[in-house]
Amino acid sequence: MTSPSVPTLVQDSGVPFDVFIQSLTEQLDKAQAAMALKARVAKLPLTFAVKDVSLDLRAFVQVVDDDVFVRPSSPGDTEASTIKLTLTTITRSMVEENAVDFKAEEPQFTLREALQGHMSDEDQRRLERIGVRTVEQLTELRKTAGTDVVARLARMPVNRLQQALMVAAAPRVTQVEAPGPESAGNGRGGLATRVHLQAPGLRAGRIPFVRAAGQDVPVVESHEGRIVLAPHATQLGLEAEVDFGDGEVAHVPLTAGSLGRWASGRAAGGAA
Amino acid sequence: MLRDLSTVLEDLHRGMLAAADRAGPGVRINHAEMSLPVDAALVFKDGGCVLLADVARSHADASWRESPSRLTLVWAEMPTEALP
Repeated sequence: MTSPSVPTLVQDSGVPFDVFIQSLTEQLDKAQAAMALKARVAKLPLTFAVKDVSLDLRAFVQVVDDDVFVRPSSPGDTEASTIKLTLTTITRSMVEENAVDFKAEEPQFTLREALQGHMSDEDQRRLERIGVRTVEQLTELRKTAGTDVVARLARMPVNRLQQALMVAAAPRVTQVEAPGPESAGNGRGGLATRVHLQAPGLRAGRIPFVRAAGQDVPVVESHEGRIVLAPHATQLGLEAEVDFGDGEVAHVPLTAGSLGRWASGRAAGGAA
Repeated sequence: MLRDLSTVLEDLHRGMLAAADRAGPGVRINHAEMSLPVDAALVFKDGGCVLLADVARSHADASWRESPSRLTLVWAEMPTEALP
């Protein structure tokens, strides 16, 4: 007899394997955190920690739509498979040695900030589960694996992912570089403030047309995915219009850390 | 009654510390291994999937399982500051 409150798929097939692994690691992390907290509160110099965990889980395994589902065996079940999992603990020093330096990457542009409410928390969690936490990671993964693959891995509808990619591909100011004191009297003249923009949708060889305060903004460098502007002093801090061609127009304030937005009417498919 | 696996691990940790405290003079435990038959289940609660588990309390409780799941834990003594 099955409970009507539990979805049929859960009753029959269990949960996706990655969800099971995530629930296991969450429990281990929670336990380790609680044990570490107790040791710190008690000011113990040494404590016992789980070094290795092995779980031989008696379970039924089923493949549904290319996904592996796991259901732990229940009382009375026979002929269950055994899934053997072994996990090990990483210490603080191992974490520090292997951690990605987010500061060096792009501190102000986490996926959450860049998408500016255009993606639900659940969809963001889906992307985080596959290791995508920043705009850079998302655009890199799309380049190497393709939108369809990313959507399938993250278990997201392709159209929602495309919409997120479009928003994430809007230009943003990564750095405002003030002219150094040496530029004033070295005869080079004209070395103005440089505004560095990242624009994941910008292809190499294309120079966007940028305007602010009714005047052109000089584009001094254009590379794949980023441009450098040399705005006039009167244009700094104002909203610039960046025309990438093919109807792709975005607006971005010329201030450090600004996130751009696409002009209305831009086609979702134009994010590539 | 199954509990969150983390709660079970915390109880085992408490037992491990108590056992280490009770070690006689001149003896120090710095490594231990537990291999335990467990019952496990996955449930949806608090907006996610939670792994519940517990050790079999007695043979009478778990005799209906010919081959239960098994949890093996290796405990090691380590500096508190090295914990993640």
